[in-house]
Amino acid sequence: MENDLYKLAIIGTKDQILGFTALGMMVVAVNNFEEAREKILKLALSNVEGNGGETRREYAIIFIMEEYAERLTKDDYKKINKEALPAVIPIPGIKGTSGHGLARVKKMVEQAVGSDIFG
Amino acid sequence: MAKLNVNPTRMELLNLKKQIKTAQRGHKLLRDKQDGLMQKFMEIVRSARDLRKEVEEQLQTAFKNFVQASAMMYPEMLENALLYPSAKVSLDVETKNVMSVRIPNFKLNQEGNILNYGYLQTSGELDMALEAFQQVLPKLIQLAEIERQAERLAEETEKTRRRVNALEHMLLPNLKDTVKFISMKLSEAERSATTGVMRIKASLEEQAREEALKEASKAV
Repeated sequence: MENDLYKLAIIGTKDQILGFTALGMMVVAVNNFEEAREKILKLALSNVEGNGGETRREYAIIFIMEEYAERLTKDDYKKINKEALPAVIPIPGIKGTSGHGLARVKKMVEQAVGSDIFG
Repeated sequence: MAKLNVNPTRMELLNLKKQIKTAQRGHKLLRDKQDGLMQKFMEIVRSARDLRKEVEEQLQTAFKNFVQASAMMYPEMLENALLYPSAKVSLDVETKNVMSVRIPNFKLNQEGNILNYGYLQTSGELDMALEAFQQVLPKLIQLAEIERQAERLAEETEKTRRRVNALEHMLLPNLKDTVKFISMKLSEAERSATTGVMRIKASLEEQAREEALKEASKAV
């Protein structure tokens, strides 16, 4: 049986992420945080029917601009992360990284180990 | 000392002892699972940190290129140029099972040409910017993969750690205390039964002796 193909999406401000359309990604342009939040919840929870007839997530990875990702609440993440997919990954915008991405990795270490051992 | 609320009977004692055995076995298993998860997690998270730093740098340059390129073109032109991409990306996803955590593995499928527009009205900078995006993409996917894996493992590790601690510091001591309590209560009951029997026996013997004395004095 052929493998299911999943889609990729990116959420951010139009002038920055427009370039990703050329790569064939699903580009979702938003203007403010409220819009971004609405879109990510919609994309992250959208299901399609897989090859085997089972329902599965439509998107495997959703990239989201850091400035929006850091304002998502814990409850939002809980909804998004219910299953193995999709992976919601914050990426820095043109302003450069705000450190949110690394802070997220740090938080994972804290969660797993109980303290931050990388310092 | 925290003991459970049970009747101090032999039946309960047996049950509790069985429970302790199960809890100990579960505790050992969970601890092994925790160790396994932790090992895998550390492996992944280390590479996640390095890769993220690298990707963030590259991505920033790519964005800069793109914004610069788009500044040199009319916005309508830019949008037109990018409107109909011939390139397609999709992902093959396989889930792997690590210590009963399902973690995803991504494989990138790309087809088509990313520079799908007329060269007349677009700038060379745009080509370069798009190529930069193209180069970052596989790394982005890889980053997404390991970060998601790390995330899933972190969740599971935390859960397992809580369970191990709950068993080790709550359930097992409580069970042990209760077993101790019951066995003390039982042996106390046993001793009190023995002394009771001894007392009854003594008083019976006393009675018998008195009666024997009476009989003797009557006979005399």
